[in-house]
Amino acid sequence: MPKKDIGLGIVSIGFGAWVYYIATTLKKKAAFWPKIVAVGIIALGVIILIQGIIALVKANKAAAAAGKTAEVKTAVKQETVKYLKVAAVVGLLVVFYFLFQYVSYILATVLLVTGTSVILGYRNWKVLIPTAIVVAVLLYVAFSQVFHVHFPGAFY
Amino acid sequence: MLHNIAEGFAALFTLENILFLVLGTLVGLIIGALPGLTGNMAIALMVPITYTMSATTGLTFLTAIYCSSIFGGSISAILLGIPGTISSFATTLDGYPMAKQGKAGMALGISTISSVFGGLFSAIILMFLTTVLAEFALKFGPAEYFAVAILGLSCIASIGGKSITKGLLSGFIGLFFAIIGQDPQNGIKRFTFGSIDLLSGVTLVAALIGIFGIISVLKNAEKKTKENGPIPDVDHVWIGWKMCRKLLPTWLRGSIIGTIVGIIPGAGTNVATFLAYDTENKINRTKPKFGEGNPKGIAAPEAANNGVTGGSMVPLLALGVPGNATSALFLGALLLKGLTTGPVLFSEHADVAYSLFLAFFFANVIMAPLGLFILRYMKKILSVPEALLGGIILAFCVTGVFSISSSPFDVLTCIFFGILGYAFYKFDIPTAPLIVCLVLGSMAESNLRQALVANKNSYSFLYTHPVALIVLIISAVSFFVPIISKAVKSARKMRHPDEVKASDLAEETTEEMDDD
Repeated sequence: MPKKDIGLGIVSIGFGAWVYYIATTLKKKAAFWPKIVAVGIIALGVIILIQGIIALVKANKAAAAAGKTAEVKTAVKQETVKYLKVAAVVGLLVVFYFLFQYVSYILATVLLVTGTSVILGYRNWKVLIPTAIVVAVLLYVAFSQVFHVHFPGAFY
Repeated sequence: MLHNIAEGFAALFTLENILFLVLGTLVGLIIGALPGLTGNMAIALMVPITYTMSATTGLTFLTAIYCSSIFGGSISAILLGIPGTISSFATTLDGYPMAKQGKAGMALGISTISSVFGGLFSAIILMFLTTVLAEFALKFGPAEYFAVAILGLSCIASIGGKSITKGLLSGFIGLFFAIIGQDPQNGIKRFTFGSIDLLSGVTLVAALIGIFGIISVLKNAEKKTKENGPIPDVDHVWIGWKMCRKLLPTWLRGSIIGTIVGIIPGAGTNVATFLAYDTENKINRTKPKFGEGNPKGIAAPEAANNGVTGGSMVPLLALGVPGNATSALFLGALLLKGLTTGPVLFSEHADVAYSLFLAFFFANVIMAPLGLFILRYMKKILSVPEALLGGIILAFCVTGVFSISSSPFDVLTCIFFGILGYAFYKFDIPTAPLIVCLVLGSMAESNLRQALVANKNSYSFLYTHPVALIVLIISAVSFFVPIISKAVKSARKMRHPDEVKASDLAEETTEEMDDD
């Protein structure tokens, strides 16, 4: 937790500095508000960083007093699996983004629904495949026919 | 006013609107009942669908979803012991024990009637208070509106969750996203990086769908899938007149607490429910004890959480300031229709404003029979696996976002905000301040600059306009009180570590369940 906060503080300071730098390239009146926002982000980043460092020092002292060592290998492995699943869902969304524009909305949606459900742990294929197809076709028909949305893909 | 109410009735009571009122109630009930899916997510997903509807139909649909999803959360709270939405957390404390005692039907019946009572009470207050406030706000100029925007922004201290610093950081990041696009006065491009898609700024609805829709699936991806426990049978849901008379004072107290808390920007539904629960707990000496299946332990929070629904719309409709994430979603829907909130809504689109008030009223009326009817089928609905729903939600999110303006860039924006929301979740940063500031950022900046131009670049308007000054003082109080109160609480906790108060519980649940 303290390490996370230290990271967050550093990222916030960097982000705030970047916003401030871009704001300096703008005309004076248009730059006024972005500069306030940038200064706010930097200031909060500094506070979070200091809070994180203080918390880390306290945690280290407490751990040293209790004589504990960091046995976190299993936890790290579990965390990695969690993030891989999240990354896989994001990856599917990116695939959908390109597939629905250039190939087919229905195909992209079937892939998105099936892939996400499998990643989330659903394995009943007899239910999953028909559900994905029905959802994709229903959404296509509803949005293209009822709401008159034109999908850009080469196929349906 | 009577003329406006009649206009609202005429606008609301068409076959199409009634159908969407019923459909919205059903959608809200089902989504609210499913653990992991929130009312805000349901509203965010449905906003694009309302794009092709008339303003009255779209807002009626969203209102029905809002009101019934808050009630729907109590269904899983009672049957599974898992609150469907954060606002039903307090209901679990007595609802689940009642269900375990074989009184699931009765518990659900109490929750239904209590929610309806609270919702109706707040709908009436919404109508009368909003019109009075909006009439007063007609006299506002840029200085007053700047102060009102600051009042809205000041609530980020109270919706910031565990860490006020992180809440503020979230708010400032929201302000940054509000800057993207053209400068409100001179049209100078800011942070667009040559992209035409960014000229008009971040698409609010795309951002909201990303934050509420995509994030819920990403959160589920990292959870271990688990089966729900056995769901008790639901029968005898009607509670009888004798019980209604017994619960009437509890409903009244809960509704008043809920409505008042709802009006305060940033206070949140969970604060209202725990406050109502705690108040009843202190007043009542009857058995069974609170926490062991006392009907009043369900009636108080349920009346309070539906009381919040109408109350939370008062600042948005009267002043144009969304006090919470739900009202920000409603603002997004109104903007999609080309409507602005605040006094202008009442002077230019009185029929829409009054039909919205009436929609709040009738959504609650319709919730009673529909709620009691659908309770019998809840066992089947609750057995739908969360994993299967995840893919469908994502498909709905991206398709809905694309449909708003047929822009693939909006889909990318939605995905980006989903990832950003997930990163916020991992770093314990609340997303509600980001949303409120994203909405209010441009309002604050443009009114500040207009006020400066009108006052020859002098900041004297901050103290020469009495209304602006009063609102700024209230903003300061609203900003600093939660900070001081948190400091006092942590000092008290250090002195008495075992003492737990309702407000502490409310805070803890907010932290556990994130933004609802």
